[in-house]
Amino acid sequence: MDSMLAVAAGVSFAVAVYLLLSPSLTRVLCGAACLGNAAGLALFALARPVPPGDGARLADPLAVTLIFVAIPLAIAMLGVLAALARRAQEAGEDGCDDDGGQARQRSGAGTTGQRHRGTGRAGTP
Amino acid sequence: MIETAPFAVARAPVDGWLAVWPLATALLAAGLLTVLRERTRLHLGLAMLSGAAIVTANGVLVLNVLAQGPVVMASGGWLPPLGSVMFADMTGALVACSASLAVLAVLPFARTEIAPEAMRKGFYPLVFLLLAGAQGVLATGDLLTLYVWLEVMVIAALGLRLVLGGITRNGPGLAVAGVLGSALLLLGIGASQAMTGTLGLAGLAEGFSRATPGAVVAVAGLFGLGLALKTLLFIPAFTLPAAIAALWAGVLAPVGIYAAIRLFALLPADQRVTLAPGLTVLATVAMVAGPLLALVQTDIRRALVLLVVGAGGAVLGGTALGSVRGMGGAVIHLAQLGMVFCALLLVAGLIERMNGTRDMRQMGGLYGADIYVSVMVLVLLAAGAGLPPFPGFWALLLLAEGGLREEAFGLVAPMLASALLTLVVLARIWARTVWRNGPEGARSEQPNGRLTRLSRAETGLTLGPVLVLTGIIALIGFFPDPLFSAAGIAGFDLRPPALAIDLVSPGSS
Repeated sequence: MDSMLAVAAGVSFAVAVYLLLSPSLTRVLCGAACLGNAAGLALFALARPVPPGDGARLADPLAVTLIFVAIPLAIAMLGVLAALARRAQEAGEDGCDDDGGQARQRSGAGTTGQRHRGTGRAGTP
Repeated sequence: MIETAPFAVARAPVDGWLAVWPLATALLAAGLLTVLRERTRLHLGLAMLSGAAIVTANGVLVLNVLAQGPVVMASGGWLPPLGSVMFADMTGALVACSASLAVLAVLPFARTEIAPEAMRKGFYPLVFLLLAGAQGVLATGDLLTLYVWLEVMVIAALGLRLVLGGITRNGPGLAVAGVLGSALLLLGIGASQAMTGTLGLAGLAEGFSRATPGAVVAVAGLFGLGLALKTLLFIPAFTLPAAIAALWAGVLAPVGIYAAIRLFALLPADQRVTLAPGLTVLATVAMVAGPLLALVQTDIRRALVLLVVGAGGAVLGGTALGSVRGMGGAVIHLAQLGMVFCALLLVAGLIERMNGTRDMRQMGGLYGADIYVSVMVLVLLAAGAGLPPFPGFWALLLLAEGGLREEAFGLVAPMLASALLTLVVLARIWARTVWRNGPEGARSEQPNGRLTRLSRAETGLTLGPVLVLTGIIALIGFFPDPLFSAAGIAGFDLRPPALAIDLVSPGSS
């Protein structure tokens, strides 16, 4: 179980870093969301089970508290990031539209994707 | 002092509440101002009132810590490792006092600079949230809440950025660096919890002394990298309005450096020795590169921000020394640099406003135009350079003495060079903006046609608070005895094993 968690955390970190390095702001946002989850998984993998060595292994309450506190903070940060990204796109200085196809496929993100594409195309032919 | 410090939660509860007052007041003010965000006319008065209340609370806290030692409050009587403890020792209280004074000076200044629309969107509430985050970091007794308040501070700062508008492509990019930094910090906190089984500072310090040295160095690396990435967030601070740059220098930078000192103070003596060379290299680079880069700037604010980097390097250098004098000097240097550079950045904003440009080459003739601003610039430049009557001098004296006693000449030499370079940079700013008549080049002897005078209302709202802040800085410098005893207490408390940490630990007595 622990190794599974560690692998999951590692994969999430890899995905998060890959997405964060993308020039498209929408992907960067996804990467930031992924990073928060990766950190949570890693924390859970790091935590020692209590009582140690017992057959029935319980999660360490402190570690779980830490994760529970980190989740809302990550969401708050993501909200601020999303607002910043939106403003940057509105300013027309984004200049990248390589996420246009993916954004349009999702119904929820449709309007943002369209808008993004519109401003992006103007910048980069 | 260390013998007369039994377990402090048993002390009168009124004492303990002192540690929470500034934070509670800041949160209350933020909430109240958010509710009244449409009534912009009420904002300044309410904000000044709350700011004054926070400064008073911090002042009382400092006096209390000076008289009786660290103030501790365990909420609900729950003790570590499960409970969360608020505590304020000399280091936290001094930095809190300086940060809240800086905010108090920025509040009226911002009124003349920030657009009314940004005010309606909640400029003042965000400033108070920022201060609340700072107060939380400065008064926390465990790593988890330290992280939480640090995030609150950073999110509030990003909120200010949003409210002000004019966001470029760099805005989100640097915020992503901050997100990466917080993930690393979180991992470091999780790793230390896994190593020691607690998040309280007391238990951590004890646990680290038993842990494998390599693991502790790895955790320290995570913390260092996380904090460094978070500081990247504020690189564009100098392109924003002067009030924001002043908030950066007065609140964000000192609190970030404070967090680094606090984390370093958790380490036992032998591991401090392991990490000290790395910290020394970092400090030396900051001390030399900051002022050197400041020397070639044509933008006053950019030069000042780089000088803050240099001064921060001196603080880290004192921390790396690890002795009472080094640590104490570092703490008072940190406390005074927040106030001094906040005032300097505000005055720089005034100079830019009067000249109508941000380019120092186009400036000049301030001495003839406005004697009050000119004198203020002169006084503040002396304070920033750490000339004798000002607290910066006493801090540098302690740092240099501590370094010489430890025979750390490799640290003292760049520290003195950095102080000299800072003086050169500031004198250059004085010569270019105030002393010479007109802009650079052939017309430098002719009066500067661009200069506009400040209106009477502007003068009151901008120069008044800077004058008060400068007066407080000078007053502290004229009576160095309490400053030295505060430095002694702070330095003593940060030695391994730290006194404040003993107080929070239930096991020790």
